[in-house]
Amino acid sequence: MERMQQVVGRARAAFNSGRCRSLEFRMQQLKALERMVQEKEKDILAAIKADLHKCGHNAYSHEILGVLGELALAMDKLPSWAAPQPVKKNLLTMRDEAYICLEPLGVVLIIGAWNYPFVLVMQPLIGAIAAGNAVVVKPSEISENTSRLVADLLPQYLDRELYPVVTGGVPETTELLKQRFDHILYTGSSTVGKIVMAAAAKHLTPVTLELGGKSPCYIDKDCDLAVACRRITWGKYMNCGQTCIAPDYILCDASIQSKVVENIKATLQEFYGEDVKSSPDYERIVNKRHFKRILGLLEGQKIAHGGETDEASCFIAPTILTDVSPDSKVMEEEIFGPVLPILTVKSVDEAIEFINRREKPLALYVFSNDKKLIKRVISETSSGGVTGNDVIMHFFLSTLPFGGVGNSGMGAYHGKHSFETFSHRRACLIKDLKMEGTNKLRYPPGSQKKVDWAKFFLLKRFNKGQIGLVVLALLGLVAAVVIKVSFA
Amino acid sequence: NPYAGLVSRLRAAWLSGKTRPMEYRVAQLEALGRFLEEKKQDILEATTLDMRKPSFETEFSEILLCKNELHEALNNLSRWMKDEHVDKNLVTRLDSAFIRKEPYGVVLIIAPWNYPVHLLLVPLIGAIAAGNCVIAKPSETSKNTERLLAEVLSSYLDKDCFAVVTAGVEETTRLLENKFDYISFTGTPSVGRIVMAAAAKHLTPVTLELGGKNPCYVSDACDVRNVAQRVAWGRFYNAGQTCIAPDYVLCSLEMQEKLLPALSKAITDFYGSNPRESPDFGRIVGDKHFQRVQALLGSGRVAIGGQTDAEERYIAPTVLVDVLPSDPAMQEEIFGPILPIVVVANVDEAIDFINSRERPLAVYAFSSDDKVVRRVLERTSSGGFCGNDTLMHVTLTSLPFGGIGRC
Repeated sequence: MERMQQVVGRARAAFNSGRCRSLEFRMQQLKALERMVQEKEKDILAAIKADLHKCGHNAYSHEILGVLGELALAMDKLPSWAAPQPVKKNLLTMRDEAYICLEPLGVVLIIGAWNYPFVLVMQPLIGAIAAGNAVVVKPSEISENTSRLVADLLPQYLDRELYPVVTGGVPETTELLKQRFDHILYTGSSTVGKIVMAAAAKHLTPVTLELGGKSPCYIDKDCDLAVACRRITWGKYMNCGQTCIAPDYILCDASIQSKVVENIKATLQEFYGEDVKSSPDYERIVNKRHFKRILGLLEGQKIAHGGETDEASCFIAPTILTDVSPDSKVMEEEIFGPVLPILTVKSVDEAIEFINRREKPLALYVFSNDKKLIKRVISETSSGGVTGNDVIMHFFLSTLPFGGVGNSGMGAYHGKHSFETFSHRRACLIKDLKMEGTNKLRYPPGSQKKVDWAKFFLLKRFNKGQIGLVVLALLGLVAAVVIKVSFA
Repeated sequence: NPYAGLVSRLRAAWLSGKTRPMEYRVAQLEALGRFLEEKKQDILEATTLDMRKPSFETEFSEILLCKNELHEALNNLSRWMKDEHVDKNLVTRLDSAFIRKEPYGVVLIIAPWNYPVHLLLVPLIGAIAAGNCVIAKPSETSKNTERLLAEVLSSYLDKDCFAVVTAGVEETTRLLENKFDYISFTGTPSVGRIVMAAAAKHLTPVTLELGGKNPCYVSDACDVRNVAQRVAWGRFYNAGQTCIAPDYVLCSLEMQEKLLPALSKAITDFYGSNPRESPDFGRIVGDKHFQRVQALLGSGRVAIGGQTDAEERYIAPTVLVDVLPSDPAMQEEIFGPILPIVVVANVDEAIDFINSRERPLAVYAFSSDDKVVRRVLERTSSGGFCGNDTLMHVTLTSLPFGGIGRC
């Protein structure tokens, strides 16, 4: 376990050397990552297939496309993201320079998850490197093939000291979490999220926690059910339901429940054919433990479609449950599997109430032709993110911050948000040693006159549009001279 | 759980949606403004009783800066509340994509004793502006201000949604057992750890405003008189009990010789020949703190000041020289009116010195050579930075105020 201390210590020494600060260095590392993804595409797809029974097409679009996009964006925008951000000044600071400097935090820890094992370490890694940090990468041991591949590949392409990969299970991760980091980004369950945050608290390390929850999906009576159900089917059963932002359960009026089931069935047929088990596009549950867990959720439920399983291959057929009770087991925890419960509600009000009685989810979905209704659901509920009239898609727009709230997490990343997450926004004010006259109003001995002048400088608000900066500057100058004279 | 009732009452109020409309938030903020106007005298009296805070300082930091923050919030609230539309890609070209700013829910604000009104009010303004319900806990160390805030401030705000509670260490521990949707804490790093650990149990996001030893580098090329004034002002304000005060000076031996008389003059200009009699110089907040700070006088040699009076909790504006990095005054945040000077050969040695220690809340660098100031800025890391002055970066509301690492 001394190994952890050494690995992190080496990364810290490498960070302190200052070599990852220059934009050229960061670009170089990002370019190397891009080369890695392009050159080793076959190996990456093979590892994901071995871990999740995911075919090449799906693995490419789920995991590689996003990474390449993020890399291209980071390399394109790095200079503008890293540039100091000037801020609005007041009368007192008019002659000064005031800006926010974006600086690296230091040594960042990224703990990945097993469900999208490549992209969930790569996307944060890209942001952390772009922001100039050293990064310790800990892929999930459950997706062992991808974990092993990442451990093999990164040192071949990146600076070995700055970006080490640590593999292992719970004991190794616990030891790793004892070390001091400057930021930890964790993707996984809320239970482990609490453990990560508690470990971080010992070092006052800020955290970004990408957790989960039960993402509700409300289907309004007024909507194109065929389209809605096709989109829901896509988002629910991709990766065999093992997606943190999959629509977990459906809320809809009883009158449309059977139509919803019919539409989903039809879509399933379109997507996976007659025999789902032999479709190359349908994945498997990652391991026996999760297989058994999901199987347990089916107990006592009305299965409207699916329900077939095969333990040997961890296969669970796309399953739909109807008339589900809110108190049942399947409604207690995030399903993370190809089981879709439908609960009936009498109105959107009831749906909103239902959603608000539960923990804030990572995603929320609402399908309706009525834009006002969608706006209402958004305004009266809370969640990490929302997609209206589709599912999952808010994840793919990198200008939107991706993260949770409450039990579903804290902080966010993707695109520029990654850069900011892994940066320190340092407030900088640069004055000069001249113009000491104005300072006199703040020095003791105190007087009412000085207080009044302070009020003027701090609280007087001018409409810049009307007065103009030149007049404002003149005013400031006059004020400074007057003060200098009166307090000389 | 003694606070469970209060927390669930506020949570129910939160769920009712009462705090969400802009008009409601504006009304509460305006009430805070009225509190500052109408109760100014009470605030002056309470802070004087608590730590003999000079009324000149109270006007500035407890009243004016809070009003500044209020104005900022009231003038910008509608803009801040608006959805932020984001750039779209090809796939989403026809869609609407935006970031919606939402309140968290029930927020807990824990404030310290050194700027007891400011450090409670400024986070409170933000929390209210963002549409949250708030439980505010002022520091029990500044007892009179605590009472004022608990009894009077709460009467200005909607009791359904806002509460000010008094709590000592044990009660605060119980308070932290409850689930909050956000916690803002200002205080020491050791208590910061306790707060974050408690927050972790509920996955509550936190903002921790802690502290550290803020270095102040003075280069050989500078206007010594102006530097001495700015440094003395920053150090001795509130008798040194300021999280962003310049904690120690780094300079060459040459500069030290010039700085000492200049600092002495600045102190006399500010507080007269006997600072104990100046209405503009404060006291240490309590006996325990007084003893802690007084013990630091043993580090190095007293070059200016050094007088103390335990009964008044008075420690004179003091400058120490011949201080070693291993001395007690260089081990902890001083939080008192003592300024050690540590001699370094040049700016690079100063930078190395700064970087060998925990990152501070603020770094200060004084030089008439802009390049030197920039060098210190670029080669160090800290919550914030001010070149050629002290404290002032926090008066600009467009700059974020916060720390990094253990500060």
